[in-house]
Amino acid sequence: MAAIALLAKDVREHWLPVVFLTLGCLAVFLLLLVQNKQAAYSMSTLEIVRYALLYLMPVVALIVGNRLIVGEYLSGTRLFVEALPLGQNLPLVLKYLLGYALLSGLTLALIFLAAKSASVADEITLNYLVLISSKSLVMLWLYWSIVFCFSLCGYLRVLLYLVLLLIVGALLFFPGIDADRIPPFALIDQQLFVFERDVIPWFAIIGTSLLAIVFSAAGFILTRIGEGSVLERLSKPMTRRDFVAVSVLLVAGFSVWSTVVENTEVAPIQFSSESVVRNNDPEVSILYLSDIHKQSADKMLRRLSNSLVALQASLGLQSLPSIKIALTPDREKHDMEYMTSAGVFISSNWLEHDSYDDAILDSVIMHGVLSAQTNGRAMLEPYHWVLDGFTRWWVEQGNVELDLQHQAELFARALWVLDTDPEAQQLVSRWQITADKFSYPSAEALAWSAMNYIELTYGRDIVFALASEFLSKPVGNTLLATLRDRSPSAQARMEKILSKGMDEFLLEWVDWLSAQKNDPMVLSYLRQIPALAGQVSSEIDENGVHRLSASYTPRDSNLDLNTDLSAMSGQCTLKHDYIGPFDMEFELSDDYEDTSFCQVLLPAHSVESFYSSGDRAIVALEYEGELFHQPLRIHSERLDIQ
Amino acid sequence: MIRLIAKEIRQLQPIAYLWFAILVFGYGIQFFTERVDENTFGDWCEGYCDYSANTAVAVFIILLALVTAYSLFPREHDESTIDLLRALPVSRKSIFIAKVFAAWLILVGFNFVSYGLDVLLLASNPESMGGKFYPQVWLTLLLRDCLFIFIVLSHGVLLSWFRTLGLIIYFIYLLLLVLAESYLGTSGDWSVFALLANEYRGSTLLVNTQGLLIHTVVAFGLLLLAYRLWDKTESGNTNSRSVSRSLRFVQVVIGVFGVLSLSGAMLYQIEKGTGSDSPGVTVKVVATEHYRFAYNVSKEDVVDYLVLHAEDDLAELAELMGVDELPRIRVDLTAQSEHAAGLAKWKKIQIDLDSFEDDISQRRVLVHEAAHVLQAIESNRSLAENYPAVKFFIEGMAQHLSFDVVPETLRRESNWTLASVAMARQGISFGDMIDAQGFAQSYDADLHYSLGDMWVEALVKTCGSLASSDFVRATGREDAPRGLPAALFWRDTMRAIDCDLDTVNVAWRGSLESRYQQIDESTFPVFTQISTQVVESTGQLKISASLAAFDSAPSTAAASVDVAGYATPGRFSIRIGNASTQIAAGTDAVFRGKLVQDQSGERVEFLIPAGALPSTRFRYQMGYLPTVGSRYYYESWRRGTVPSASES
Repeated sequence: MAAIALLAKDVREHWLPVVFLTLGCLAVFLLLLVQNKQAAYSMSTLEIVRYALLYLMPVVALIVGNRLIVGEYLSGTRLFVEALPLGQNLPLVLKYLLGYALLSGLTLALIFLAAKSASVADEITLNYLVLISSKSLVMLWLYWSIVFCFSLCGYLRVLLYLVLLLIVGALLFFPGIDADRIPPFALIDQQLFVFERDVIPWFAIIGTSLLAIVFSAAGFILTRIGEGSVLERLSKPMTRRDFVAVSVLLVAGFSVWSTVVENTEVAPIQFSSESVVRNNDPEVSILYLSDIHKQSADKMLRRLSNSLVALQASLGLQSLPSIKIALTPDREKHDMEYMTSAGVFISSNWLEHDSYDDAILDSVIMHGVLSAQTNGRAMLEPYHWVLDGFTRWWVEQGNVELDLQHQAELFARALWVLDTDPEAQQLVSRWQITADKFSYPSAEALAWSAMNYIELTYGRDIVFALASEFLSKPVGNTLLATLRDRSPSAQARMEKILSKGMDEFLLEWVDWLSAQKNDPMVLSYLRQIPALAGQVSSEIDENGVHRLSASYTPRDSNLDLNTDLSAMSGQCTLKHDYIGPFDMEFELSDDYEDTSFCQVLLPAHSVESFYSSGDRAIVALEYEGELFHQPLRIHSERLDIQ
Repeated sequence: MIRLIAKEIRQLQPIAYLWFAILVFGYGIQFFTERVDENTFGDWCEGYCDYSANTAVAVFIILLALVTAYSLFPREHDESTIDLLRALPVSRKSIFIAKVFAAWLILVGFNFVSYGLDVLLLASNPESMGGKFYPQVWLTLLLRDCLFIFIVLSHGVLLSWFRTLGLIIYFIYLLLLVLAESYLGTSGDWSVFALLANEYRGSTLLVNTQGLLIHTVVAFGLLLLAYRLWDKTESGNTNSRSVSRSLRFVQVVIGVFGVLSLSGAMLYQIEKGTGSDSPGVTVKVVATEHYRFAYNVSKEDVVDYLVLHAEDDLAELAELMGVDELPRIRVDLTAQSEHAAGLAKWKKIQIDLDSFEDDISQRRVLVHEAAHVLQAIESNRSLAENYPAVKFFIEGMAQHLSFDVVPETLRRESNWTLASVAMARQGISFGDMIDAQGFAQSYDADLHYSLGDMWVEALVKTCGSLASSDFVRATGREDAPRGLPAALFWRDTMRAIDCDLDTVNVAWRGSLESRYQQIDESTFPVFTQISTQVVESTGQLKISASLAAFDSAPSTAAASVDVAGYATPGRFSIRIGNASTQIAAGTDAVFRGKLVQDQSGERVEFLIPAGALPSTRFRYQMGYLPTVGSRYYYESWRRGTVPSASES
């Protein structure tokens, strides 16, 4: 009788909101049905049950919890009920059951509606309906248990819901966790919830039920602890201290969590083909695809292994990452794919390489090795020139005899860069701009020339000291590690090693480099560079067609560059690509290019209908001659297309 | 007023502490996991000020603003503390304004702190390019967020009058947006999510000014309404709030009327069915050992043919995939879809029998979808987990197996030709293929089928006939690392099946290149001289283009080729990047083009309704039918701009 009376009291008190809640739910169900019919990839009306369970029913449970429990417990009216000779549990148990019954009723109504609306193809059988309903009711039980438990936590409940949201978010989005296998997520799996009819997901059902039991029990226990004193305390507004304490716990909990789950280990890439040559120490594997390429792979393996062993000894490196190189014969000879996530992996075509091309490839490999040593820090601008310069220096003369042809080509490039843009001498503060403007080969030549100068003037030890300072120590991924690395500054560290001010050093190096232009071999290279400057224009013609045009003009130079274009056999190329709104280093590929012979009288390039007003593009003009192994970038700019 | 606002801010301290904790938590994570001086402006912008809508960010801000709004009035009324306030010598209007303003100030304050800290962190980047700061973008975003907070706060203040029922109302609003995007392709300026949409002109951020303006005006209206409601509401506990008899009567009538009318609407919808079984259509069911087909009796002939081969085809498919145990699959052959000939989810298949004319094609679609079912089961749903990385493989493998089981040589050859042209001309690489979203942004997403088919062909040739199925199973192996970037995922899984990815890729590119060498290039012209203009009378956007031979080299084409060196395609099509905020699975709008003659010769014209364009900046992709019976060949996606009135 008492139970009936209590139920009647709750019904009397809440019937109107329940009517409106039902109304709201019906409206949502209707919209879900309509939407389901129109949705591009919908395959069953039963999918709306899952959708409602995911997004609607938690909100409904929250509303019901607020009406049935929160209001009464926060305002203290429960005390009147508790004063009745009914015991403390009965009113709460009744509320628990009433709330669950209401939620179940709504959900079962939705399932019924969805099933009635389903097509013959959905094959709605009794077994299937029982299965869907059981999964839904178990899921609802969990929702209601959580709401029941948290609703009893008074003002703390908002925080608890937010924490719960964060935990759910972390489980769902943390890449190392497969949430689909864990209850309760497994129960409402996108594929299985509606479309698995033959297998009953016992693990997910039991797991979810256990969670529901835990939350329900926690709620009931909360009301019993200290004869309700905890409940009493929780129904008071939270103090500042409570919030701070909870926040600290929250932050600490998540820090521990993120540390614990950060264990995604990936085995290094392994070549399984028989067409692979390997070395175990250092770990180098080269995939050569076909027997006819084995000899070249063997040669490269020997060269690389020797170089890596010597590098490890010279810099005192404790270990080296594994190196995998895959032959891709359809690539251009300087086109490489480069990955450093699990060891160093490079995909390249070395079949037509000469010694200079080999040096480029080796330099890229060393770049990866040393970048990995610093946990990627060596790529930061103030240190990047050291990385580029040292790797090329190491490959050219660190472990082998310097080839004079290589030296001449590198000097010519470096001289040409400084002649075109004297600001490029600012190795520490403008390296990204230089690399972006002149492209990687020219920037590398410039950095190499600086290392070469350091070797000749200060000695090899200083070169190694620089490399050791910037390229051999890993820098952690924390704020503290960042601050430690930045203090003292990169420039101060360089000056300490060089025992000289950076400006003074740069001045001396530039003077020394300028003197190299008189070397006959260098001169022969410089004479193969056209004395050209480039301009790019963007316009929309009278027909509304956009056109990107480029032309060349003669330019003055302090170097003995070639002014007779007719005597030059090379070609001029316009390369371009879309870029985002914000500047960052961009390596232009050969995907979008226009090649023509070099001329100064008429526009040499025209690309139409590629861009439209508002786009941003990067455009570069390059000269590809026979003598230089890689193109020379004459002009580069970022355009806002008007 | 200022003291009133200060008092309200004090009252909101608990919620402010909560947001402060979240802020600290966010930066704490950053400080403990990142080298903060390496962040560029582009990195900072990722997922926030990218092109198009940023729904996740909007959801986060909506959550913050709604929780704050809900802590303004309901508690004051429930605990009757509002009576104390009302007893003060200040107007009720002032109290309302002070409360709303205080909540807004707190949220705006956190916004400023967050943006301020971000500026400091960005300034710590010492790089000459990476360290570049964009004040216009930063300031615009900051101001827009402040306005957005105000808009959502106004929603929250009104919704809070309905207490938690207000959340249902908001839910209905969101659902209506989803519905609009499903039906119309866009929810336009009605969507609160569209307010955070970004577009750029060069490096200048353009925000949805019109949407913001409309929503701001609406926000003021909502605040006015909320003021009226809260002003009329007396204090007291929700449960014990006294309601007049007349109001109670009105509520009852509204409630009963609402329930009845909605139930009626619901029944009407149920009567209409799912859309699969149209009214007046008789649906029959036929079952085999592993299939259950539901079909329209008017399609009985096709279905008989399908049923006749279904079990044998499935057995052959299972053998090709090395599957021993076959599931029971339900096939809905009554579907009508503009989007796909077939769909598969776990153990259900849906096929639109109107997609293809030939019975054999329908049969192949069934095998294709059945392959998806087996893929999902064999991988224990792991393929779906890595969907962006393996989409091309999922579709390519299903395509490959279906063509093996049900040979349609001409169709396959035609698809491969399209794939080879796209690969050669658009420079598609394996790296592009393993990023489904990026691929769809740059190329024709349907190329995943044919390029994937050829990739699986290369895989099977390189590593054995069961290699593709082994790969599927390897994705679901117990010790498979989770959450790997696409490139690593591929290398790791290929390692697990003892097959060299690079060798497969070389074979794949080789076969595409050799196929490209054999095609008649004249059947694949290119669009040039593209221009856009607004048709004044209709407001439509006209995109027109000329056709030209791909290469200026003399054509080797046959008689069908005109003097221009290319064969004029019969049909043209243009896709416009969808204008939705991605809260529903939208598809791109497609419009046909027509060939016209003008002074400059043949031109193709496409007319686009203004409503199909997301903003003045849009994405489009032009295509044509190279030969009769072939699929459309689409060029890469381009970006376009609607010309201003003066430009038109």
